[in-house]
Amino acid sequence: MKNVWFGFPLFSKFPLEVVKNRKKFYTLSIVVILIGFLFMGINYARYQEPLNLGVDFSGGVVFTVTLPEDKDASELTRIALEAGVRDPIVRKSGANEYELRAKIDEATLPTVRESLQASASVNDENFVGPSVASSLIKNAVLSLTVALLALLVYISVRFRLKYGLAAVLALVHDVLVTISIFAIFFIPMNSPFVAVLLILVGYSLQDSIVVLDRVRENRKLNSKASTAEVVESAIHSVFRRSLNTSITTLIAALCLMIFVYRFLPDFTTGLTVGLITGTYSSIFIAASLLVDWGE
Amino acid sequence: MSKEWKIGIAAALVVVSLLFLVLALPVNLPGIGYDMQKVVRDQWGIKFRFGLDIKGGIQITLEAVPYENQTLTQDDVTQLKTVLENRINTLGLGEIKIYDDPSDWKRVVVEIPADVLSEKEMDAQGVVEFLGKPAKLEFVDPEGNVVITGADLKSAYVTSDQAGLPAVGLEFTSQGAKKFYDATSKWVGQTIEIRLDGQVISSPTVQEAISGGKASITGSFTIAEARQLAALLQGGALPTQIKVSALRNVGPSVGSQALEGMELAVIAAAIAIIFYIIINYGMLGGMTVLSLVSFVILDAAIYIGMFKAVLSLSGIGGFILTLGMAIDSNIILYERFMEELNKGKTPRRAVQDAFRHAFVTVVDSNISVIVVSLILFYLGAPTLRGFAITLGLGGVLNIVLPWLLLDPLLESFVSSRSEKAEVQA
Repeated sequence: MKNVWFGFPLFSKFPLEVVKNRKKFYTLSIVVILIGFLFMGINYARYQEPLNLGVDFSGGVVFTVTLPEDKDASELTRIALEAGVRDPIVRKSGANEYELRAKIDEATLPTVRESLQASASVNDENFVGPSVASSLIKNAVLSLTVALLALLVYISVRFRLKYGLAAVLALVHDVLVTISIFAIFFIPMNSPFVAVLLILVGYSLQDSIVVLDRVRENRKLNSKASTAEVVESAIHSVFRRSLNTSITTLIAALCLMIFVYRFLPDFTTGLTVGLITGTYSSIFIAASLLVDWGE
Repeated sequence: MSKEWKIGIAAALVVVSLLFLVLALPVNLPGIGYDMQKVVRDQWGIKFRFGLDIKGGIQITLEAVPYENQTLTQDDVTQLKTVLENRINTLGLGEIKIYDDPSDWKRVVVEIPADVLSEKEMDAQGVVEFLGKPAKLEFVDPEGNVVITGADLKSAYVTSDQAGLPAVGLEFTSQGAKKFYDATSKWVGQTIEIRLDGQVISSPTVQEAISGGKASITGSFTIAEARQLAALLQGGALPTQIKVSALRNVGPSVGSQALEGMELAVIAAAIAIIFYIIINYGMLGGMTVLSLVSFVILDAAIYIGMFKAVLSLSGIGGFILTLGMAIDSNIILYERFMEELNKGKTPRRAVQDAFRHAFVTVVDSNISVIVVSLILFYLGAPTLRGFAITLGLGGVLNIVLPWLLLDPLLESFVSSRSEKAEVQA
């Protein structure tokens, strides 16, 4: 009867000892980030760029073409790929009108132009600068940095400075891991990546604060226990919440991944990776740091 | 606030949420032919406006051209940008990007979403005319002297005259107010012409000397004309002339197919999440669904109604994030409730203690998010503001709703059950 009211909770006990094994978790994170950097090197050797920055960030060419009645966007994508274009972005902009955006270097441009003209009528060809998205991401990073400083002050007042530093370090970790994943899979990044960055910051903070809040509360209840004990018990008290929240939000992220990955690879991947690493860092990194630093 | 009030408000929110659910549900099930926008528009009367990144729009490149005897400087172009920004913001064109053209320092680029254009019933040409107006305001006395200029204005706004017709209210700076008083006391019984770019837009007769630094321009304006005039005056005169150097339609960078995919994703995610929460939390999970529906309705109503915002990808992202946080607030509360219950407390006591402890967490994490959103709003580029608003709004609702809705719901749920238990015993 009780279960009908209160449900059938999954995950009853957290199977790991976090504080004791914290060095392993730190190592795991560092390894992922190092692999990310390694791939940036490999990417640089292969494509002359560490990350797959799309048209929005690095500039490129935009073709506007009209396709014959019986052809659609996938046909245009196929033509572009065959002509040697990497990660072409195709959007419908009119009845039979499509926009093809891609980074195309001068060597392949004539080939692309020819193959487009062979099967469609090209209405317009424009070079676009990297300006908008680049200035946007600069602005976003700048504003976020200021925001983080303000948060550090807020958390230091509400908690302690070290708690604030732990939350911020966890956040930096999440950003690095996310960028590493983008480097490893060479996922094209366009302006939606800015939105990903913003969401990541919000989510990571929320997660860390929930854990740190519990550390503070448990410390008040038990002033004699060692930092390691307090942190461990806090992690065990909040892990169900962390897991359940992550699963529910991951459901949303995965649904987006299934339905819109084709159109927004950067947005959907960033969201999913960000949620996972955000949860991971709040449980395995943020609170453990307090043990190393002393509360 | 007394407990009865809280329970009353909570009950009202629940009823409204259920009503909206019932309104939304009977329409055909997700799948072929399901059009969420249409449902929301037709059944709820809410019209979404999408940003340039989702629906496309126009991009205008404007080039500063010096007036005669003017040497163009970088400052002029910066000021030009500010004036254009002011005009756009006053007209409520929202989510418009305006930025320097990196290839030419004399140029600025303006991007306007198609949805905004159609709502304001403007076309590219209309926008260009509006932005290109020099907007030189002059008050000219009967002797032909210019007594007041646009520089004497503090603000301009839409108001109505005594007959209730649209008019434009003006507020002068203290210097402007003095000039206005001097002029009106000198020319009682005569007319002072108000000219915009040399054209007479109104020629009122001075009835008496006017102190207080306020005036209004009446005439046969439509409300749209009054709005444009106020926006022009509020924005100030252009520091240089401008010419259009390029005007082109921009395709969406997200695209309609992605938007359709997103709608499907939202529906699929909603069903899966509700399922997961109810399995995990039973009846309590049912309450989460109610409080989430309230959250979505309030959030959307305030965001679209109050901020007249345009939905861009980052705005939608902010919405997804805060919805996740709303779920989180619920989960934090329930987990704490179970924890207190497992300590052997009575359900009633457990609810009270859970709320007391967990609410601190909810407040701390949401205030952090609000801090981020405020800074993003003030420092961020216009494109980031949509995100900042959804984020901040979500943060506030996530503090208010658990306190106003979830706490009374949980308490009345628990007390009704424990009373039953007592009767049975």
